[in-house]
Amino acid sequence: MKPQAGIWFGPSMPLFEMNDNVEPALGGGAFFRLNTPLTLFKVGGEVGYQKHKSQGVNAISLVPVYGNLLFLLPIKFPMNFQFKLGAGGVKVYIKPEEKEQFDPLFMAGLEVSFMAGRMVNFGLRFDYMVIYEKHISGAKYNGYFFNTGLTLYFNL
Amino acid sequence: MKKNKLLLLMLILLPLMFTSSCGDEPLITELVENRVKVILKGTFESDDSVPAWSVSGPSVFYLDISEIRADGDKFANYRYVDSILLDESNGFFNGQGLNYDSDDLFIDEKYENLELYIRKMGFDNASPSATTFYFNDKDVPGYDFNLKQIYLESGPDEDETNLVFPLLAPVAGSINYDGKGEWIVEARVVIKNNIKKYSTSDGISFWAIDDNINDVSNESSVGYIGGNLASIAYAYKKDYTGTITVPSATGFLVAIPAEDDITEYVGAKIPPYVTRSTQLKNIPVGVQMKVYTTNLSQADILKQSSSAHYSPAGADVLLTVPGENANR
Repeated sequence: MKPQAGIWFGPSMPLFEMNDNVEPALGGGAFFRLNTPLTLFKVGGEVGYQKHKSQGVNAISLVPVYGNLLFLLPIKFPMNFQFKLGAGGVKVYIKPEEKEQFDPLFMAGLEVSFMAGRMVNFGLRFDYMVIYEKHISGAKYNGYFFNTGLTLYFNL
Repeated sequence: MKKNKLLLLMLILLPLMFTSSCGDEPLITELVENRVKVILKGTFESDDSVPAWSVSGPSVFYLDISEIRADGDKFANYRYVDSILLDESNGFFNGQGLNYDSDDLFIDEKYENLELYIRKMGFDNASPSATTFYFNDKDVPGYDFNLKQIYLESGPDEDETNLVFPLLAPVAGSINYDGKGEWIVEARVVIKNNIKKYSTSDGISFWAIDDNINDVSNESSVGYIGGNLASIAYAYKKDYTGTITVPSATGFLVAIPAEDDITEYVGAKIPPYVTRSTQLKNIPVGVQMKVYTTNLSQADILKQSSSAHYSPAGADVLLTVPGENANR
């Protein structure tokens, strides 16, 4: 197992109340991963970008920056299954209020990947993100997003 | 491996770094919920001092609006479609107003006009009585006169600009939206007790809104009915308003922002605050207002090409605290 770097892109879906206010959009990002002494675990860092517009004036842009812990499912199969749990921050920008700030971010996800040579892996990823705002006074909602992506991994 | 440990440490610290510098405004809630409420009225008066419908003929008004914009900003990109009875049971005609779905405006933007994209307007009781038009997924008895509301100065315009798609409702004063509290944006189009019977060249008689600039008497040869609708829009912050009382007012009591001149409010532009009572409500705090009275009837006011009939009712009003009343 080697350290990895990679990129992904794919559809991002706003969920629940957000879904009534903004539309799905194409998201993308970059990440790197390092091995840990425990063979089945890796740690990673991610940065991404997604901008959700609407038919009206509402829009939200997100730049998630977070770290995560990855667990490789120990089964013998041509494909790898990895579970992810992560936390970090997300820069949120909303329109028409034109306000931005950092919010805490939590995520959970699954990746399915397979080798396409010594250098490159391909995969699919499914991420569930929670923008945690309910700790702020006056907040009634958190932001929930579901991202699906095609991933390209480079084994360094 | 040493390098890896350093990276590992950075990875753990990175999330902590970001969470510690987090903001304290509920942005998601701000996006999901709306502060700006749009209220639509079909009356000349800005409050519920409206008189009853006095018309014999139509009994239903068909209204289909595709969206409302503010200087092009799609802040109310929602459709409204309803058949409204010509009585006092609906907010559109009883002065309470009907709620139109909306999102929020941009903060500190100076809006000049609201644009009402009216798809269809029609009254029932057209003749011959078999006349129908397609409305809200079914045929309804009546006549859709929207396509006939085209630009007219002294004759039919060559470009045939439709005057209600969009209908420009001028904003009185400016919308000083600050992104705080709850805001009401009210748009009024004078429809109540302002209708007229027209006929087309192919023998259909129908009810439509009276043109408020030109006296359109016969449209049959040219196919227009004017379409200069009297309208206005204005905004205020809820619970940040007061009242103006003029005990001596007998006809209409009217207020406009002091930055405007009353001579602007002629023809198709009506004053933002109009009441038949002696008290004007929802006057914004901190906005200087001019107050006038007039004893003309609604129909006469709409036909005036000058503002000479408005007589000033005392000095300008500047409310300083919410709930305040100014007597003039």
